[in-house]
This record gives sequence, structure tokens and C-alpha cells, in this order.
Amino acid sequence: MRKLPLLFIAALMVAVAPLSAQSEQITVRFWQIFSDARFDWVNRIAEEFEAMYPNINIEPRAFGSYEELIDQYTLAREQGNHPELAMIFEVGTQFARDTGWFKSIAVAIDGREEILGQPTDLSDIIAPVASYYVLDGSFTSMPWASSSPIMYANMDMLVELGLASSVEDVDALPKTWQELEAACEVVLAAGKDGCITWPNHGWFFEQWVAQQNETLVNNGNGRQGRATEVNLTSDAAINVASWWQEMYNKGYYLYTGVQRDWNGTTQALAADRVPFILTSSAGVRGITDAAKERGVTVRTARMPYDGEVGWTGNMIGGGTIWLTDGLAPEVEDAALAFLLYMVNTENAASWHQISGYLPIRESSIALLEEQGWFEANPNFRIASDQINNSTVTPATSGALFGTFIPTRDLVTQAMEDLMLVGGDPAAVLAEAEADANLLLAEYNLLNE
Amino acid sequence: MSPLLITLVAALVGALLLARGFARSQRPPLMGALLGAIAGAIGPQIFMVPIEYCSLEPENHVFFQLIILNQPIIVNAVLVLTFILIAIGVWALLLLFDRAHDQIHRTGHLLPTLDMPHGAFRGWGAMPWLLLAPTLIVLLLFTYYPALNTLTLSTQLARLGVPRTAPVCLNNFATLITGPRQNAEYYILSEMPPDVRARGAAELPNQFVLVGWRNAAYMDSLSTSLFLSFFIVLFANVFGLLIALASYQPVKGARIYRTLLIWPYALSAVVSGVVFYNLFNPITGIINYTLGLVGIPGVRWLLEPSIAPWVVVFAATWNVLGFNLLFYIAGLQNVPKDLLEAAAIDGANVFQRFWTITIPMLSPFIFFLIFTNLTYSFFDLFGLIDNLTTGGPSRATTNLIYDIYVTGIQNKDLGRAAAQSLVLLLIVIGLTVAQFRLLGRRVNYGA
Repeated sequence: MRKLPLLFIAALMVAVAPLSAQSEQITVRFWQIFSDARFDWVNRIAEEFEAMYPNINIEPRAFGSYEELIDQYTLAREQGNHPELAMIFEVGTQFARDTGWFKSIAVAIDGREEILGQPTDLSDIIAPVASYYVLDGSFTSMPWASSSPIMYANMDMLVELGLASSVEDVDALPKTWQELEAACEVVLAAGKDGCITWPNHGWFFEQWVAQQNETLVNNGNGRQGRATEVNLTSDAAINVASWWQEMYNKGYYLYTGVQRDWNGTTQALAADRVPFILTSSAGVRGITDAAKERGVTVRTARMPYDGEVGWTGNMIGGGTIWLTDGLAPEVEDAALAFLLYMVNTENAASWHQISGYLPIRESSIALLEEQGWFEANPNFRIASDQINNSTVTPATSGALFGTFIPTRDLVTQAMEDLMLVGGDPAAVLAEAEADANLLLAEYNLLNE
Repeated sequence: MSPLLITLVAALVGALLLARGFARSQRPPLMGALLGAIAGAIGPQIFMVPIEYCSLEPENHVFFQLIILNQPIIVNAVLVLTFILIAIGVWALLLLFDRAHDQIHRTGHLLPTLDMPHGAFRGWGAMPWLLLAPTLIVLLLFTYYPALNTLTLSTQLARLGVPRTAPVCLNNFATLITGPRQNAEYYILSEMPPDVRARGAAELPNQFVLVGWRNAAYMDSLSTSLFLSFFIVLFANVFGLLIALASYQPVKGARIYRTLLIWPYALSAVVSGVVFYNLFNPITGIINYTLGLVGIPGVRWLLEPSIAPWVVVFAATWNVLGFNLLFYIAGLQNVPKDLLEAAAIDGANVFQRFWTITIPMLSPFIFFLIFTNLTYSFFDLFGLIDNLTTGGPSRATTNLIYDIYVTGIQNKDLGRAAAQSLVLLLIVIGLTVAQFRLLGRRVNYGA
């Protein structure tokens, strides 16, 4: 009992200590979705930044997925302990705009040349990224992690099956749906129980619809005015669903049974269950390295398209960073300076190298070329090529509508039903479209 | 229909019902009629005044199709709900008035008097409240306030992350029956057309069903919930008891074995979901791999809507088995040896002893475990489903609690999710009451 007063004083000191430190320190909480080597990169950049600005604390936090992060931000918002910076995926763009929770990056920069010494120039952000995120004439959120879906192929397996002459024979990789089906026929004939897989995620469906230059919502894909109708019954959309269902029915497409299963599909390639997978270019680093470790060559190719319709282009995917509105000026500047530092020419290039996300600045691409990066690492070039060769149209700029996230789930569910239960793609998509339109009508009712 | 008319009719019905009830129990029927009329007049207002009788407005109505004996009828789900709510309100008040009057009639007091001397709290009058305050504050803040909020939310069109809301009357409840797009069809003793999503739909002829439905996703979740709960409770108790009996035999090392058996319970539903996902995963699953080693083709455990629910039942049973074992082993230790010995001397065989002595002695445990397993399978199952099947394949393992998550969090539809929560609450209350009525009487708590 004699020790009690001492304990009390100690407790008091512990409680007061952070208070006195906080008064001079600025803390910027940064929520993002990576928890692997890419999170290490974020932490390293944060530490570098903190070393330059001793009065600023960057607190990165990792979440399981974009969906989880946006839900957690929404809930944190209601409790008033939301972060200063939040990474939101491209399909959440309209939702984020409508909430009024965020301040446009351009408005926050407010014409300044630099913020705390960090240059504010965003003019050399590559066009496909800019076309997605420049809304009302300026960047509303900070572009950072932009990717594109690409194909990964186990070259050793293909050589073994006679589908490629050597492990470097990337020209032999299928470019169209038709070429892919022909290759799959060979793969299955050789006794494999699957040929290709990709996550059952709306992203892939949307990409294939955009490849055929078809929009997902009306009003110029929601870019000329608020979208009021979802179009899941276009010829292009039915074409995608029919092809996907057929790929499954023929045993070519291996379904992991879990929706939005990014890990399972990557595992299928790593476990030699299939020679091909489609997934985000953001996995180039991880997938290539993992293959190399087990003595297998994995090479990448562009996402196959319907050879009978042709290819207009692919969209980007991934996340941008949104700045919470209503911050104290010094906190807002600290957050902005950190963002500008994280996506400067050198860091954007290094981010590409450790992940496979697109180098989002022209100057970063120039820097990487200068270093001979793409010659030495050809797998990293594919996504940039795919995006930079795309024709920018309303379809390939990507759709904007407030219920994009739940609509994706409807598409995912429709695809799962088409595969596991069967049915007519046009009829199943018509059901999903009607559900999606009701969602959008209700959302618009509350947001007009 | 107007609120006034409804009130008058309800008062009339209430008066008639209670007058008859009073006449039967030799109480003045006129008094019954008066009390019944008051109850009938107030009853409808309990639910209708808070929603301002909005369910009578035609713009709030939603419909579904009911096909009985191949005769289609269009039913107004909101009016049906209104009728049910009014009936519940009137019934509750009638019951209350009847009981109160009966009490006064028999004892002369409204509240039952105790023969025991009253205990009194000495000292400052506010003291008891002060001592209760921590509990009360927590209850108010974290239970009653959110519950009240859920009630408000359930009558609104509200989306997560959208500050504005719009009143939708009883629509969130009614559309659970009609489907959000009002295209639900219910078949009773009728021919049901094949579902558009059914495999090979074009070739299938109409099928005669006792009860069937289409486009009513909530009914799918409800039936999935009942299916999963029934089998989890059944298996967890049957196997729990059998294994407890086996491990209770006096064998060397039985104590260690018993301890090991309880381990699965130490894992949360989430962890067992992850474990079982890795076992049954169609691509890298250990079970299919092992089957392949001995030449048996893999089973599409999580890909077949008819198989996946059984995987969930299996995983959940495994998860709660340890808990049940713990109680059954403890229960078996409480079965008096002398009773069993006496029965054995009287010539009862093993099964007779088990059935007439062990089971009745275990009945409090069985009753308790059925209740806790039921709660587990209605609520805690969420973590398992989210990690094992994410409600799939094709919603085959989406139960009520998972549906609330999908609706409220994934689809961000807070209003409908709130309505679903309330319905789930009512279902669980209903099941509990039914259980106490049906099983509670048979429970033998001993002397």
C-alpha cells in the first residue's frame, strides 16, 4: 500500500507526457490498403519525410481491402476519429465526391508553387490517370496507386505443353479470347483441371466492357452529368458474361468459389494449378519474385480482348488519396506536403519498382527508361503499354456513379450465379441491372 | 380506411372479445366490454401513432404475388403488416387488462403481495440508484439508445455515408416480403415455373410445390438460417453427448483426452472459418488433395450450393462441440451413481438406464445448450461464414445475420438492414419463447 502514491504519480506522468509532446507535433493519419512489402515502402517514405520535417508525424495504417477501408472511414467519420488522409479506390470516386467529407487537392493547393518546400506540379501525370481523376477541371484526389489488369503466364508450363517455344517466347502468349480458348483446349487436353483464373470481381467485367468501347452508366459514363441508369444489358456486357460463363462451363476458368478472391487466384498460379491468371499489375513484383524463388519463369501479357469486336483500350484501377476537409491549415499543409513527396518523380518511380503500379508521371517513366529498368524487367512494361496505348473515350475513362461499389457486388453475384447455378446471361444481367437501377435511384434521391 | 374507423372497429372487436372472456371466467361481462373497448381503442395507436398512420397512404404501398392453387392474388404487403401491427397492439393490451382485472378480482390488489417482510435499504434514498448507475448508463448508452435508433432507421431510406434520409414508412419491412423491386412470388399448393437462374431452365417443366417462392432473397436467407441452425443444434448436441459418454468411460488417460476434446472451443468462429476454408478450398484445399492421393476425385465443397451449407454445419458443429462436451461431461458427473446402480439391480439395461435416468438428469444441460447453440448459429455464425464461404456459393450460405451485413455494410442500405435486424430480433425472441414453452416444462432441475 505504501507504493500506491508513487504508482499514482507515475501514472499521472505517463498520462501527461504525450499531451505536452502533442502540442508541437502535427500528426497526419494515413489509411491505405497495403500490408505487405508495399506497406513497408509506405512506412519508409513516411520515415524519410518525418526525418525532413521533425514536427510532423505520419501514421500509416493498413486495411484489408478498399471496401473495408471505405467502410471503416465511414464509421470513423460518424465517431469523429477519421484520418487526415484516406486511400479510396477509383469506383468510390463519385461516392467520395458526394459525401462532402473531402477537400479537393487542387483547392487545397490553391495555386501555390510549393507547400513546405514540396513542388506542387501535377502537370506530367500520365493522361489515362488524369482522365480518370480530373473532375471539374482539376485533381480532386491525389493519384498514387494506379494499375491495370494484366495476364501472368507460367512459361515453363507452357513450354512443357508445347504452347511456347522457350520461357522467353512472350509472342506466343494469347492476345485475344479466341487465342486463349485455343490455348486452353491444349491445356485441358494435357490433363490440367483448369487453364486460367481471375478474381470474380466486377473490375474484370468492367474492363472487358470498356475494351469494347461500351459505357457502364448513362450520361457519358456519368462524366457529363449525374448518372441515372446502369447499363448491364448492353451487347458488350452480355458478350462478356456469356464468354466468362462458357469459359467456366468448358472447364477453362477455374473458380476459387470466393468472390473478390485476389489471394486465391494468385495461389492458383503459384500452386501450378493453371498456366494463366489475370490480376492487377500491382502484383507484378510479388508474383514475379515468388515464381523466381521456386525456379519458374512467369511472364506478363496484356489482358486478352474479344478478337471479334476489337480493342479500344483498358481502364486504370487502384486508389487515389483523399484529403479530409475541415483540417487545421498547418495539418492540411503537412498532409499535402507528404502526398506531394510520396508521388514526386523519384518516389513514383520507386513505387512502380517495388509493386508494379503504373509509374504515374511522365518524368518517372523517363527516369526508369534512363536506368534501363524496362529492358531488365520486361514484366513491368506491360501495364504501362496497355494503358498508354488505350484510346481515351468515355468508356475507357471509367464510370462515375455513387452506387458503383454495391453495383459491383451485383455483377459479381450475377457471374457467380451464371457459373455455379447456370442460366441465361441476358436474363441474369437484366435482373442485376434492375437491382442496380433501384440502388442508383435511391442513392440519387438522397443526393440531389 | 381512416384511423378513426380502424380505432372504432378495434374497440368493438376488443369489447366483444373481452366480454366473452369475462363471461367465461364468471366476471361481469359489461366490465369486460368496457375494458375491451378501451384496450381496442388504444391498441392500434401503439404502432400507428409513431408512424403517423403512413401505412394507409397508397404511395407507401408495395405488393407481392401470392399464388394459391394456381390462382394468383396480388397482396398489399404494407396493409398486411399494418393489420398485424394493430392486432399485436390490441392483443397485448387485451391480455394486460385481462390479467390485471383478474388479479384484482381474485386478490383485491393489482400487484401480487408477498408474505415475506419487505427488505429496506437503509440510508440515503438515492443511494441504490447511484449504485445501479454504472449498469444503467451502459445499458442506456449501448443497448437502448442504439435499439431506439434502429427503430427510427428502419422506417427510413438511409444509406451509409449519405447524410440525408427520406421517410419510407413500413417499406423496409414490407420489401423483405415483396423484394425491393416488388417482384416476389409465393406459391402455395401450386405449379411453380422454373427459376430463371436454375440450371437448364429452358427444359424444366413447371413443378408442383407445397410452398415455394421466387425473387424473395430474404426468404432464402430465412430458410438458410433455419436450416443451418437446426442441423448445428442437432449435431452439436447429439455428437456432443455421444462423445461425452464415450470419453466419460474410465479409460487410462481419459482426462487428457477430455481436455484435448475441448480445445476447438478455444478458437473463435473466425479462426475456425479460416481453418475450414483452408481444408475445403477447391484450389489448394487439403481435403481434396488428400482424396486425390488415394484416387478419389475432389468434391466441389464450396462451389456447389447444395454442398456448401453442409460444410458450414460441419465447421460450426466442430466449433461448438468442445463447449457442449464441457457441459455434458460436467452433467454426466452429476448423474447420481446410486440411481444408476439401483436401476441396474432392478434389471434395466444400458439403454433403459440412459433413456430414463441419464437423459432426464441431463435435461437442464440439454435445454441450456440448445439455447446457447441456437444463439451461436443465429449470431456468432457470422464470423465463420464470412471467412469460409462469404455467404456463397450463390447465396447458399447467406443466413439472416450475414444478410444484414451484406445489406447494411456492403450495399450500404442502412434502412433495410435496420428492418432486418429488428425482424431477426423478433425471430430469436419467438424461438426462445417457443423453446421455453415446449422444452422448459420437461426440464428436470432435480430436488
